Amino acid sequence: MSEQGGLDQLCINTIRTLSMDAVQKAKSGHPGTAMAMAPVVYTIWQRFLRFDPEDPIWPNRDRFVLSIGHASMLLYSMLHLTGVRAVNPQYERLGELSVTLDDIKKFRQLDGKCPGHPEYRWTSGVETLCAVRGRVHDGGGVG
Amino acid sequence: MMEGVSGEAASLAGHLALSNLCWIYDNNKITIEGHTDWAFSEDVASRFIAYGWNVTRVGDANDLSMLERAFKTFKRVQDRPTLIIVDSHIAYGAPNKQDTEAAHGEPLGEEEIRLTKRNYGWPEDAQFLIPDGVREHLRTGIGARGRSLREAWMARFGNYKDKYPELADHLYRMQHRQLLEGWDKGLPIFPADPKGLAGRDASARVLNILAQNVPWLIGGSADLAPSTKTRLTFDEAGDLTAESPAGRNMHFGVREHAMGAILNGLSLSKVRPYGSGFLIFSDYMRPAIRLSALMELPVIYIFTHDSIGVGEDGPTHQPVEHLASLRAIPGLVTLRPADANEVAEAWRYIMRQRHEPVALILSRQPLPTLDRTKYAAASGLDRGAYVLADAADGEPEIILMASGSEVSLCVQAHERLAAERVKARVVSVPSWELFERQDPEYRDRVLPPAITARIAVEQASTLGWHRFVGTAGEIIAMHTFGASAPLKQLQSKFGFTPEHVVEVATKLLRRSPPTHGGRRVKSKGLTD
Repeated sequence: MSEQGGLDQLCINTIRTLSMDAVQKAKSGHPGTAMAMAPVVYTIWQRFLRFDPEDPIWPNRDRFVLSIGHASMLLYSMLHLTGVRAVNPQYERLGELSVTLDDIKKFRQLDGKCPGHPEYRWTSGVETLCAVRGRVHDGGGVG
Repeated sequence: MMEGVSGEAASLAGHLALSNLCWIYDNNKITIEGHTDWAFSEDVASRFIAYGWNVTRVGDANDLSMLERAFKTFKRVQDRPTLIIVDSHIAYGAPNKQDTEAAHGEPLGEEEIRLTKRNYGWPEDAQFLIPDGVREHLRTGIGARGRSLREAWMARFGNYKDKYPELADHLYRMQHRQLLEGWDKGLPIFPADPKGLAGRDASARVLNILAQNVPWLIGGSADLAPSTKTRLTFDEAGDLTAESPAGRNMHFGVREHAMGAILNGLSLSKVRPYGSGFLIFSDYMRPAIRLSALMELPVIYIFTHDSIGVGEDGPTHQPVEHLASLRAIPGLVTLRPADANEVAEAWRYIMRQRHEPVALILSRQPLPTLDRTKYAAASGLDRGAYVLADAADGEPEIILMASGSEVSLCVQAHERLAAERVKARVVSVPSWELFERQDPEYRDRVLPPAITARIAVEQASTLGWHRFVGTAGEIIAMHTFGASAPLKQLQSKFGFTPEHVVEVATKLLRRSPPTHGGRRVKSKGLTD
């Protein structure tokens, strides 16, 4: 299968395997879509998204909305791998990571930062809640 | 793509030519029940072309150059939104589960994971592996690009701030959900008026003043603004169209669910959005209201035509269970003001909120503006419920409580009872949620536990009022759907008249055990 090699492919397969491993560890979740869409999400983030992981609430950023909320591991993987920083409820940037590798290992667990579907205000860098069928926001999108 | 709201939103996005919007359709042909052939055969590309979108396809999700070309096309197209249809394989690389619904909602299993990792050329037993070079590669891509874009923008914003300090301050406050000084200047105080005005009309006056004080208060209606009276009518307000994106009056069309979703999106961008419709149509946007509450977004939902007060339009347009169903949403504050001054106070409350959505429930029909020199101040609204009118000695034997249009009805009943020497208290209850946040002392002061003779009056479902009236109380409310008739006749038919409230009160006092050591019995003359 995909053995194009190169750093792009290495990153994509990292997203895929993190997603598979997190779901397996949680004994529940949705691995398939994350595995399928990893190249798409990777390309958007790496090549196009106007988003600074150091300042995830920069007002003029693009908004990436994962309407397929069940594939939340796509988002948590990207937040972790790109080093997105946490923000507190007073909209102050904190030094720490929004999602650590330990957080990913606690996917879908009580009081974790990686709930089953992305939840706004629980995880910095999640732009909106998007767990619900058909839910889209016209304010969102990449661009 | 199957769910209706995506069609509502896509239709409006195409109409408004939102060229910064890009949707990616993961076309993996699998749903939870199996292949999409079970239930889906439409031509999605044609549908979106008909909506006025730019549609492009990527035939293989793994083809990075094709993906890149599609995103470049999106960036180039400046006059319409873009849909990228990406054909993908669910669980790509899993030898036994790829392209099956089994890969959707359950773990792959350890053996399948091992085989998949082998396919990827990955160490089979490594878990949560992040190879060297991955983080660094992303840092040189999105990291470096994002930083330089932000720094350039911040520098530009710095210049803007020097040139336009006031506007820059507005932007800062908006981003931090802070109000401007003087946000409430010029709010009206409505003089007492037995004829009064409709909740929607009082709200229109207040909203138009607030919107002039708070430039980022914007919104509109799902095709009902002439009826809900939420249009901003001052000169510079303008209408939002594809050609005039700065217009503050939005036109959502007959698309309630999309309106709710868009209000959430606007709020996430930190403007202060409101959307209006008839209370009966709150059902259509209920999923979006729920998400406002779950995300703690200060979205303002304005629902007018709030009861059988709609009159001749009949039961299809008369909400009954809607108030109860909105009150059931955790974190949503419902406000049903009793008169014009409570409407003004409701807006004062709403504007101060930073993290909570509000449903403002307003009447279509005129409501008397209560004489606040005679009754308590409308600012009591902040506490959810307050004593509006009381027994002369402050020791009532019965409590009449109501929200919205039924409050003045209770005031009338209170005066009639007073003439019969029955000591009644009227409690205006514009918001259950706010009342329940008060300390127990306040709640007990408003609804003293010793007074068990209580009546709640509301032109809506009885559901939930028992917790305020208790087992000994009575609820005058809707037990059925309404009917089509002039308002007065409906009020008589369903028991929303002062006579009926007095009658129920009298019966209740006859059957209630005496309170306050039997004072009621001697003071009343209610002997049979």
